[in-house]
Amino acid sequence: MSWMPPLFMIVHILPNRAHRGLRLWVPVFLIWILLLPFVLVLLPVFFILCAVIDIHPFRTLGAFLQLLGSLGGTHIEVDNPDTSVFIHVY
Amino acid sequence: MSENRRQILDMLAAGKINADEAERLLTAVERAPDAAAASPARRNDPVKYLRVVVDALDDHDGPTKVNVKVPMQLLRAGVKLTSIIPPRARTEVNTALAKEGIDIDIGKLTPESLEEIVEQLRDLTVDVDNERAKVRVFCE
Repeated sequence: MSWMPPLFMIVHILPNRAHRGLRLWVPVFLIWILLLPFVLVLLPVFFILCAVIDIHPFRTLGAFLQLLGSLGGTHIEVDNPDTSVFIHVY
Repeated sequence: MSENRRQILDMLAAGKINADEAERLLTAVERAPDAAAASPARRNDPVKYLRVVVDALDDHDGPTKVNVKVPMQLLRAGVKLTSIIPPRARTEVNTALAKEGIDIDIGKLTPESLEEIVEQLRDLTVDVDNERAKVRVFCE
């Protein structure tokens, strides 16, 4: 099982055939880097919250990381004459 | 000479089958080992994705195609989340499931039982086909 969160994501949203629409190559790893300081600051709050609601903090963190890590390979494609959406997570 | 081949030739010699039938049976026997050799390899491949493919024709939106590929790892990780449900909430969930006739203890979902479920999903194929839509759900 991968613990590595997704690094890149491709998002294409084409509202209709006449327009170019939105074609994004999202470097998701930058989002993780930006979120890291906030996560570190909020970590004590998380531990207190886990103690209050009686759940294991490390197991919870592990499960959450696994969930993030398993997002890689997700592929969503919707295509109709009005809209076309393409999302792929790497 | 294999046992199957010998039996076919014996049946031909005894006049129980004719030459055409014998030929068909021999061809089938020759193909069988190839299929048997290919099958275990495929069986050993882990199930990687749950696929949902929809090909629909809508009156307003016109033809719509949906292609979704969900990693099985996501399912595995999702089920592991049940282990972090607080004991009090777990009892409530189990009671609610039992009321709906689903008699399982979500606290006892182990990685092994989860693998068994995923393994069973390998043979799952849902095919819905009518004039306006074709829906296919399968694992690969």
